[in-house]
Amino acid sequence: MMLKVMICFLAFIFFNCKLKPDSLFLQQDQIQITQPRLEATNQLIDSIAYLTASLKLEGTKIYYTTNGESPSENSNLYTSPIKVINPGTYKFKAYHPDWKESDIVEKVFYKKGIPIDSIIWHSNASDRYKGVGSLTLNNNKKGTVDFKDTQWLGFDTIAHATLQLKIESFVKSITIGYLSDPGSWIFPPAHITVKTSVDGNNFKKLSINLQSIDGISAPSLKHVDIPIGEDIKYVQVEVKNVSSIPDWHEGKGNKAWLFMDEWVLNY
Amino acid sequence: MSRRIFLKQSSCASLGILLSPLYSNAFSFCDNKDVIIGHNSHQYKVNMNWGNLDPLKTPVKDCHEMVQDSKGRIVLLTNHTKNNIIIYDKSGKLLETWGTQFPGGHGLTLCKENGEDFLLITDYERHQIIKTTIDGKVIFEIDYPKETGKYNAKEEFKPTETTVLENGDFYVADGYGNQYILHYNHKGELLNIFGGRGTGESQFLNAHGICYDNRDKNNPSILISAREMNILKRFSLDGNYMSSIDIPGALICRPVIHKDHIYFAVLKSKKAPNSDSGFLLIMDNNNQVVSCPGATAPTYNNSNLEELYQTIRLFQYPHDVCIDEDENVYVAQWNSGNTYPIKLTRV
Repeated sequence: MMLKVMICFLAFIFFNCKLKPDSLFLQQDQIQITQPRLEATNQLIDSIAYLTASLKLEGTKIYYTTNGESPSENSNLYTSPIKVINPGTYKFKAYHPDWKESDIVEKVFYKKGIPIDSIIWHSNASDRYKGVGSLTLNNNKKGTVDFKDTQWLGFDTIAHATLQLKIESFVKSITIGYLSDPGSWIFPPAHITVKTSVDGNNFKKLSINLQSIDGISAPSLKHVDIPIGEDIKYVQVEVKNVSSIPDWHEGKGNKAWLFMDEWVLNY
Repeated sequence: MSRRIFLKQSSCASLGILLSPLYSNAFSFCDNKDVIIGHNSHQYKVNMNWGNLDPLKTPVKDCHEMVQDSKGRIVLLTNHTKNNIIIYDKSGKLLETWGTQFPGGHGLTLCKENGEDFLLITDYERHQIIKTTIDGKVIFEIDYPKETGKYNAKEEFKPTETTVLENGDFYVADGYGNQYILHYNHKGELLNIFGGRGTGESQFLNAHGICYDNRDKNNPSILISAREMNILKRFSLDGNYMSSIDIPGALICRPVIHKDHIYFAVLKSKKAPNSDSGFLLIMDNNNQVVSCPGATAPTYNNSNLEELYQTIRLFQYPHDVCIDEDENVYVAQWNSGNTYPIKLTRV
């Protein structure tokens, strides 16, 4: 009898081990957990901001880095809101004993820039995505990855404006913040021209081209820094994206959206 | 005894369940775990291979909706015009296909008349509601309700869903169009129109789904999802607003009533870092959320539901659910790489 039970037991183990990999059902180690949710009190800091990370799934641990490296289980363990004093990139990743680890999610903190006195628009934001008024680009509030967030200004391919400072100041660079969400027909800039001036008449011009994208990627917040390094009072910025949506995209041939938020004049 | 309870009892009694914890400790090299999703009373294992077909022969684009017919077959509506309707048995075996004329095939509802099955299909590209027999013969087509004066052109009418009463009356939600709810008699004659686009109590942003709720036999009503607003609204049969249920964070598709629970596919989470952030949601007979397969456990704080969001990347964009008599759930997904439905087995 004992022998029979033993044989049954071993047969069961053998049978089950063989069967398991071919289970009819999805296995836990095939599925990723989602990225932690990040919330910051403020992303343009002049004193302190607080950064909270969470993922309400029992057993999850969140790790993070502040030096730009990819987090691992050897990085800092997140336990409570992080006090952010210095600008930089905070990267997070969630781990769980049963599921596959999450993708990395990051939050970038910028130094608060020189206040912009006025913005004169030469191209108009769409009525549907017109932000929260004329200072949307310089109100120290960043748009989120949701394009319906009211902090975004959405343009039909060109965003063109002149920024004026109260007094002539040294500007090290300008940071142009934008949204990349090709799945929602929102494309990154292709070409940016920055013209700077002391008197508003004579402008010095700098142009840059950005690398185009070649496929759908998740919505993400991006920025580009353009060096200036001079005392100036006026900055004219013209941002253009692709003239029409490329062939690989379902919207090919149509106009793409261009979404802007927070242009920061760094000193 | 239902099949589900029988299976549970018989498997609990089997040697397998009794030994399995022991075995998984001792033999950790084969400790793969079946995914179990959901909370409380409604938990499921996941079969991703259910209903997979040869995409060259029987392709799908968006899998929009599913219903179970009187014979127990699972009927899927896709907007692929090679085979708009795909009919499976419950094991996922292909039984038949038909339909090539529904480029915007979106809403699928079963109605039974004198023991015979019919389908109501909404097509937002044809701007029509089409009634067919279960094997695809067209009974009638309804165009946009010009006589109401609420529409300037047929293009403004993009119906997403229908629901049918016992007497054959049916309601249509114009979820991608002007957001009106239309009430027709069984012959397709318009009786009433209400709703419309807006953020007022009796208005909608994305009136995506509609469902006749007769769980309370004395007070039947109509449930309508305002997907963009993350709200489920209740109206009387004559079109008066009654109440709302907030479902923070959840872009709910149509309500599906099975026994005394309401099931939803949630297209995506409101503020997710990834856009393919859908999950499922189940409410009990008191309209309390009891389970969210693929998402955070539902918790109430002073009777306010806390924001729900996807926690595991299993579903992409679930668009509809269909529940069979064994309490298993079939999930149709939109925009999810031309994938076939997923079957969840209740545990």
